[in-house]
Amino acid sequence: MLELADIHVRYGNIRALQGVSLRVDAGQLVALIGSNGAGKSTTLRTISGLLRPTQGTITFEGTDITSAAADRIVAMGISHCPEGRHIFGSLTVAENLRLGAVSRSDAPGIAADLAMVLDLFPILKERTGQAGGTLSGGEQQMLAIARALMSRPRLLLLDEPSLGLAPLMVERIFATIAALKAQGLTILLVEQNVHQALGVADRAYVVETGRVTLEGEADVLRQDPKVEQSYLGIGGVAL
Amino acid sequence: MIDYTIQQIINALSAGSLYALMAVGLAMVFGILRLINFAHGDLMMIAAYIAVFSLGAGLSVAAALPLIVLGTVIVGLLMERVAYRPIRGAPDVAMLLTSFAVGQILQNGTLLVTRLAGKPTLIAFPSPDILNGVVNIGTLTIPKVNIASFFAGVILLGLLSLFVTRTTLGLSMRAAAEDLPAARLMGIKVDRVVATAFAIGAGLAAVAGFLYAVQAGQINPYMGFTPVLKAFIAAVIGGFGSIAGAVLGGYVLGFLEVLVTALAGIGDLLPAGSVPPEVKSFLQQWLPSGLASWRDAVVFVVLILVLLVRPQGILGRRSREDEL
Repeated sequence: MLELADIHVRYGNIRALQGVSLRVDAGQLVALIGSNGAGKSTTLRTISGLLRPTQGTITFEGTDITSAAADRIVAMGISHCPEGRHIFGSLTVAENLRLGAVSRSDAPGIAADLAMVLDLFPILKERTGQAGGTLSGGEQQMLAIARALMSRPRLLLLDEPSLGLAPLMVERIFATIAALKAQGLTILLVEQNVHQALGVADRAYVVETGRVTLEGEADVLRQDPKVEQSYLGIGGVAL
Repeated sequence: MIDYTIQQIINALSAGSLYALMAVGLAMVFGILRLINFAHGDLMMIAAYIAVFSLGAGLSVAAALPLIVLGTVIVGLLMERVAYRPIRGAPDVAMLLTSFAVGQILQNGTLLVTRLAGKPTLIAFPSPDILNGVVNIGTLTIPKVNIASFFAGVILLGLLSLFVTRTTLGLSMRAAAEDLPAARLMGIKVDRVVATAFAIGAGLAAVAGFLYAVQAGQINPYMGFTPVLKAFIAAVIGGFGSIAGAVLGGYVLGFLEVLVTALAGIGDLLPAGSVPPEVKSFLQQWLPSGLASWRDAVVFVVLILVLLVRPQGILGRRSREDEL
């Protein structure tokens, strides 16, 4: 469904990605793991068109999207839920959700999806008229995921959805991710909570200093001594 | 005294409306692009010149106004497309300097056209009869153009408010101003949103420019400088980048200016015996009629005070969301 081939990205003089290649098959949940600054978020930003690779190609469902504009990529079916949530704080919850569907024009479909995301996160139903900035961190994360789903993506890019959330909320977010996967949504997940990420993923890539250093089935990577040592730590506690 | 006060309030609302109409254009563009578009004042000037030529050709106000607005919007869109789009994302200073260059080009271009048309640099503005003279309500005497300015401000800013709260394009504009990268991730077409901001700003500047020219009675290619500076101050006082802040700042500025002018010489205006003589002489000493010429200085002092106490302006947010 999505294929990155030898992607290089620079921030000025810094070589953020130095030849990342990866593949996400339809219906799968693929996790990108690695330490801070390894290039995981940069990879997602490049896929969604916020950054331009200096080299390499990105293909989505057979179409080359390497130099496509961000709005076209959304319209094609890739939705990116960014790290740090990036809710429009001065707009209401309802307005945030409405903007999530800005790439679409099928009013009945949008209404159906709005009902669907409010079912998925019932707390948002009580908050529709409230400014996004007044929500708690967990509620903002739910709103960010709901907003990303409003474009009716076929591929969802999820960046650090559990970052800074209370343990109970982390459980809820991962339950939601599993539910979305069960519905057949293809997901590319970036997570610092490696234990949880590998628990829900089919396959995973380990990214280090802008390169993919390890890849494979999530179950296999969990047993990998290197992954265990670097990312799972003693007793499986995430770094 | 009551009449005098009401009269001054109307003056303040009229001046404030023009500042607000100008300031929102600056604020919308700055909100999205971080561009301080000093050429915005020259759009007013362009509008005034289109007005001179179309009214001079014998068109009625009703026929000329759409032409003025449309012509100015086209210039505004061209400005964005030709000068600002290629440097989008450049350092703020580069964008600021570009806006000065655009202003120079518009001023000198206008000068060239007027020369070719055989007109002088300073042109008397052919104010239409409908806006000339005054309206008498009871003991009040109000210039018609002040009433027109007030209603233009209230109606157009009301429509703008509906646009940014009710329509998807308006919401997209606010989203882009708040967090541009996140807006792009929603699939918002940034080029379209930016063009819309320029078009609306130019349309509002066109109406403000027309009314400003009627008030001033004459126009020249450099007439846009003072209004854009005032609009900039209004936007900064209100909170730069915020549309509501720009409107508030515009009216605050209008009231401030009128207050200074109205209080100047108040001691002489008070009827004998209405206040104790000590008060009268105190007022005459500390608020002399000559104070009116210090109006702009007072406005700048207030600007400095606002920036000291509340650098982000009255309604402004402290800083932008962290970059994505």
